[in-house]
Amino acid sequence: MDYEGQKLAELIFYIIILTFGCIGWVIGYFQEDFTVVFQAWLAGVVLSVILCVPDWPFYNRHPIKWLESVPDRRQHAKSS
Amino acid sequence: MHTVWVRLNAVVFFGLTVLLGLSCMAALSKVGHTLRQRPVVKKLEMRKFRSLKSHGGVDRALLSFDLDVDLTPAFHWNIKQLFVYVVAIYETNGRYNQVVLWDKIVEAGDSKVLKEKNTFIKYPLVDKRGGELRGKEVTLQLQWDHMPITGLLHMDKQPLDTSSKFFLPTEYQ
Repeated sequence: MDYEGQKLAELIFYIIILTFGCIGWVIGYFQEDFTVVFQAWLAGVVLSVILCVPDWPFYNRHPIKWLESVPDRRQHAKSS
Repeated sequence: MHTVWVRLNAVVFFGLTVLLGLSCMAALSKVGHTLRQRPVVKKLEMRKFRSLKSHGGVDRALLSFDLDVDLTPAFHWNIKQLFVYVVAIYETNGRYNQVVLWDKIVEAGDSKVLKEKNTFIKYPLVDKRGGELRGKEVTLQLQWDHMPITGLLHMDKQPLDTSSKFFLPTEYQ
């Protein structure tokens, strides 16, 4: 995963887990049932693992631009 | 965030932290619930007195009781179960003794209305210090512990002015 991809992955799971958790909490509050909160939270975590942990292609759209490789100094020294 | 394991760790532990926050908010949302909604004990009284004997110097009484209470008001979304128990209170030399005679665990999914008829006590009414039980006035009180999903356990009880009393016989029988 490149650096932009890592940032994106972190943003995605922050939003997913917090959103599922908060919506689940509000529904659970009115249903008077904490298991609703737990299930919503669990769904959020599972979805986040699926979306953010594997190295999907959309996390590799800004590949790191490495510099040109420097020629091997020993070879360079020998030839000159 | 550079390997699968680092990312997995980040997601799982962020998730657990959020769950901790949600649990604490649920606990806070029900602060003060017990002050507003209290179960009412409709009946808790002795039904049949069985015996009062001395066993090795220790007085022991056996009896059965009736109980009628609806515990629904004590439950809310942060309560896992209630531990309910019947306590016999009597006085010795100006101080009060409390002895648990019977208990029951009521989980959130169970029936919350307890109707016990002529139920025999689980634990004998015993004065462990070898004190006198003959002729004592005994009050029966229902007490219960709220065991939350998140948070501290707290206790509530039946008001004493609604409790029933009875006298133990003055001679062993």
